[in-house]
Formats: sequence, structure tokens, C-alpha cells
Amino acid sequence: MIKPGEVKVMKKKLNAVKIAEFVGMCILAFIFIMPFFWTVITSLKAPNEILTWPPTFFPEKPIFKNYTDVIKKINIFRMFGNSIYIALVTTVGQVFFCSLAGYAFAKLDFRGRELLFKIYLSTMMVPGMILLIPRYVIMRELGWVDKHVSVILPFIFGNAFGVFLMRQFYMTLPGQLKEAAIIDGASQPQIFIRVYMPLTKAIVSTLFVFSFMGSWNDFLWPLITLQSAKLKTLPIGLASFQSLYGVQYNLLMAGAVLSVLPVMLAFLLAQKQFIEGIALSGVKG
Amino acid sequence: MRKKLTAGICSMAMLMTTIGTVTVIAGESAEDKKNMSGEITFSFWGIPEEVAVQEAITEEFNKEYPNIKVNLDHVSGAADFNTTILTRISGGTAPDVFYMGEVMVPIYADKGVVEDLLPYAEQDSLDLSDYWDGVLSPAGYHDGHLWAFAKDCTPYMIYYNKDMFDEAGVAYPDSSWDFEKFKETCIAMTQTDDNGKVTRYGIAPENGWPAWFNIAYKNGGKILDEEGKRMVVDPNTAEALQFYFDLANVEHCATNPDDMTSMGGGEIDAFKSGLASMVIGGRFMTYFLKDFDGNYGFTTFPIEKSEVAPLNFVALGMAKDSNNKEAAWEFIKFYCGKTGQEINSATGMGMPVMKSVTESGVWMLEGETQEQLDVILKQFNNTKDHPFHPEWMKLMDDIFARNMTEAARGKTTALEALENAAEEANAYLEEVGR
Repeated sequence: MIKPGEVKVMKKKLNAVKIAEFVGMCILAFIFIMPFFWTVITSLKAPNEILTWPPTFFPEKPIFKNYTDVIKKINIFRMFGNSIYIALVTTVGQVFFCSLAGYAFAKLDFRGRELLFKIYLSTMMVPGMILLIPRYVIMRELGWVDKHVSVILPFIFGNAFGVFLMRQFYMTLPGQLKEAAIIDGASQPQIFIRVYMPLTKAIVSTLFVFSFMGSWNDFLWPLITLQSAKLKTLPIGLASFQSLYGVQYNLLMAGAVLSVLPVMLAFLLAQKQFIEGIALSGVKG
Repeated sequence: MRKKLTAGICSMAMLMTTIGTVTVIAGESAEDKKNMSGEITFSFWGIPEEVAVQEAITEEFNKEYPNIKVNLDHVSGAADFNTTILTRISGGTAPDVFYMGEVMVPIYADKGVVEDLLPYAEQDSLDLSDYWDGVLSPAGYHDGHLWAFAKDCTPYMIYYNKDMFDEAGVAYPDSSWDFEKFKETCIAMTQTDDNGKVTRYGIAPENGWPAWFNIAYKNGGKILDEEGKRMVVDPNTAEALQFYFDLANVEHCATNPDDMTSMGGGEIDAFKSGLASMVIGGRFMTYFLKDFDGNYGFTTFPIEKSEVAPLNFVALGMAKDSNNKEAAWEFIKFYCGKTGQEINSATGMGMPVMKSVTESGVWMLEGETQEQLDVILKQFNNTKDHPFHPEWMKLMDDIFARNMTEAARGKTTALEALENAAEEANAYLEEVGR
């Protein structure tokens, strides 16, 4: 039997654990937020103040001109629109096709399924650089060089990572659902769309985040294939501030802040789904 | 700082086929050329201000050649520029004219993807004697070629903060200084706090091939043998580099690569922020110091045994499979001619490649003096080629830089690093049959 005095001690212990947890979380939050904080304050500093020692945590005199300079020097809003468009279309396609393929590899029985899956997985071993020239030649033959389709279509059908992620998730879902649906007279597309798809919201969110980030940050391929200024994406625009001889950190950081704000907003609005998805998949970005 | 291409690109580029045949240039009158029509694509890297320079030059070009349309293709990722161009060349959509960093000239030439510009220059009776040998020679001029035409160039110099020198009561450095004087100046300009921690370095030296080779040359050193085929362990080079690295690791009056990593910026940022009194760089520093809150001057590297000063440059190349070679040549000729040079050099990003334009000083920025022009001209008259090689990426950007960075960090001696680099580089050259 627990006496009243012991309850007090336990409560005190619990409080101590909670405080320790809270302090730990605060330290972690500080560590994670520092790079972003640094980006923001660097975007407001004069070039001479960027590398002073000891570093200044707040700019002596905030220079908002860095932001107007970025807007004047590169067409950042147009680039932002291009990036959003390309990333969204690519991501929606990737999620759709990876879901289809993941479902097929996990739940449909067909000859050579395992072998085909292994072959598909092995494509992850091919370094991206090797694909540059063949992909470029294909784009040229199709007349797609310097068009947005050249940065969307090669990636819209997903990749081995996405298919693997979806397959592993589908494998955890019970096969009885499919059997029950078949007994009820459902067709394969109906089983996929009406039975399984609703159960994959969390993992789809995860894949969405990974795909979106991949497409959003993609640099080399759009750099090679997009030549017209009006078609360029944000990473290409921001790279303008890094020359061979030096980096204009204040402008680069101002551009980075401008470009990250909408994405941060989107994350904050949908953070519940994202976090659930990441926790479920056990994969952290 | 020069960035390296990845090994992947080198292997990709090897797949490329040689395209095109020798160009026969028909004789045309100057008037015919002015009426020449066509469309060319010009690919370049650079910060937004450099885009404005290209636009200004193109505008002037179109006043003389109104029927040639120049499509400006700004490849913003300077570090990935060569990957982009090589992919486009391999894919059959090469730009007609494109930027070429000096180290890339023999590489592109070796792959056979660029046009030899010498026949074009000779056809037009271009006076090449008005161009600095330091930009013609590395482009193959003395072997009867011109694989690329330099558009701007620079020797490497030492920039110093005049205000800090005044404050410390130290005389400004000038081109009469030797290694010992250089070291004394670095020490005199270093400040420490009460705990002995350095609060201001005498110099934030560049740790990359341009600065390493410059200091080696000033000590009479060399990197490759006389034929330019094998890396050598030259005692003068080892001595100069050890001296250079000791400034950081023994004298503690200079930053080493680890200091720069922990500070999280480039050497120029350290200079601008007052963490270093001196910094090393080419003419482009002038541009990046435009917003510098203070006064600065520049002088030559310290001279120990030799005055030679290699030039770094950016050139314009013409793709061998360009569909409009004559228009491309007219554009290159204009860009590297007097008008193009004056527009291009006025930004402070590079110096003219024409002797007459350089000597005129019209490109100097406001406030720059005759004395400073003399410092520059002294170096232009003592140029020496860098050890350019078709295998540069492997030899220098990989093997030499990797080994020498260890010495710069104080983990090994310059001599050991040089021996290791030479052994590895020469074994590689044997392996690839070079």
C-alpha cells in the first residue's frame, strides 16, 4: 500500500523528470533552430559583419536592403513559382506512381515479382551522374530541352526509394482486407483505391515530404537543361550569389529566407500528418 | 577558389566523340562581316552583376553586328559550369561560345571539342602581339594553336588593410619584400588577447593551387618537370610551401584550413570582417571589396628567388560543333578586343588581356593610383604558365590539393606531402598512359 508521504515523493520525482525532459527539449530545440536563426540574422547583416569574432548575434544595424537587392538582382518570385510548380507536379506524380507500384509489389501475386522488385531496387545503386548525358540526349531528341517538362517527366514516375517505402508499408497491412473485398465483389482498382489507399495517409505524407524536398532542392539537372531565365528554379537563382571567388552570404541568406518561408508555412499547417508519417515509417529526413 | 569537377564527369566526358572537321574560312570583306547574320548562344557563369556586363558587351556588339543575335545563357552554378557544358556538348546542343577557366583549356582541347581559334585570328590579321603572353601561351599559342581566347586575367596579389597597418604603425608592404619581411609583417599585424588567443591574424592565406603555386614560383620552384609530363619533388617548392604553412602552424600569424572551417566563411570574409589584416587573391578581390568598410592596398607576393608571376584567366571557347562559327568568332573577337575589354574590366572583376588596354590604365577604378598600376604591370611582364595539364582535375584538384591540405593543416611536412603527391600523380599518369 502506498502511503500519502510516498505519493508526494513520487510526484516530486515526476516533476524532476519532467523538468529534465523540458530542459533537454529546450537544448535540442535551440540546436535545431540555430542554423535557421543564423540564416535570418546573416540575411540582415552588412558584408563586413558576417564573420566578426566574437560573432554578433543581432546585427548592429539590420540591413533590409539585402532583401530588396535579392529581389532586384534575380527574378526570385518567378523562380519561386517555377519551383513550386515543378515540385508539386513531380511530387503528386511520384506519390501516385510509387503507391501503385508499392501496392503491386506487396499485394499482387504475379510471376517474377520478387526478382522484378530486386532489379528495380538495384537502380538505386546507379550514380545519378552517369544518367546525365543519356537523359539529356533523350530530352533533346524529344525536343524538351529548355522546357519545364524536361525536369518533371524524368522524375514523375517515382523512384526505387519511394516504391520501396510504399511496398514496406503495404506489407504491414493485412491481406485479409483484400480477401474480404474480393468476396464483396470489388475489382483490383477498387481494392487499391477504396480499401488500402485510405490507410496510407501517413506514409503518403512522408513520401510527399521526401519527394517534394528532393524536387525542390534539385540543382544540377535543372541547371543543365533549363536555359531560359524565365524557366529557372530557385536553387539555380540562389547559386548566382556564389561565384568562383567568393560568396555574397548576406544576399544568399536573404534569398534563402525568402524561399523557405512558404515551405515552412506549408509544413506548419500540415505538421500533424508529417510527424505521424515519419513516426510510422521510422525514417527520418 | 577553383572547384573541381567530379570524377564522374571526367569519365562521362571520355565518352564524347570528336565532332566536326577543320573549318575553312572564306575570305570576306569587313563590310560583309558587319552584315553577317545568325544566332549564337553564349554560356557563362557569374553573379548577377556579371550578367549585366555580358548584356552591356552584347549591346555594343550589336551596334557593330546588328544581324547577329546573341542568346545569353547564364549558368549560375559556377562550380557546376563545366559539368553543364560538357553534358550539353555530349548531348549535341553545345553553346557556340562559352566561358573556360584557364585549367579547362587543355582539357577541352584534349577532348577535341573546341575550335582552334588561331586560323580565325590569322585570317583577320589580328595583332596577337598586343596580347599578354601569359594568356596566349597556356592556350597553346606557341604550339601553333589558340584553343581559347582569354577575356580577362589577373596575377595573384596580396591585399592589405591600410587602416590596420596605420593603427599598428607598420609600413605598408611593397613589391620589394622577401619571405622574411613577409613573415615579419604577418607577425607584426597579428593581435592576441590576454590569454594569448589570436583575435586578429596577420593574414588569411588562400590554401588552394593558385596561392601555393605562386609562392612556390617566387622561390624558384616548379610543380611539373620541364616537359610538363611528370610531377616533381622540387626542394624550392617544398621550402616555399613549408614556409607558407608555418605562418599558421608555427608562427600563428595566419589562419590554416581548420581555422577557416571553424570560422565558417572564406578568406575574403575574414579580411572584410577585420579578422585578418591581409588576404590573397586576384583582381576580382577589388570587386568583392567594393563594400569594404575601410581602405586597402595591394602588392605582389613576396619575392625570394624569382619574380615570375603566373596569370589566372577566364577565356572564351568556341564549340567545335557550333553551327555558326563565323558569327561566334566575331563575337569572341569583339569581346576580347578593345571595346569589350574596357567594358569587362571596368567592374574590377578582371584585368584586360590586351597590352595596350592594360597599360592605358583606363580600366582602373576610381581612387586607384599609378603606383598600383605599376605593381600590376610589373607582374604582367614576368608571367609564367601554370602547370596546365589535360589531367589537371586528377593531378592538381585531387592528388596535389589533398596531400598539400594535410601539410597546410600541420599534419605532415610540405616535403612529405609533395613526395606523396608526386608518387601518386606519376603512378596515375603511368596507369592512364600519359
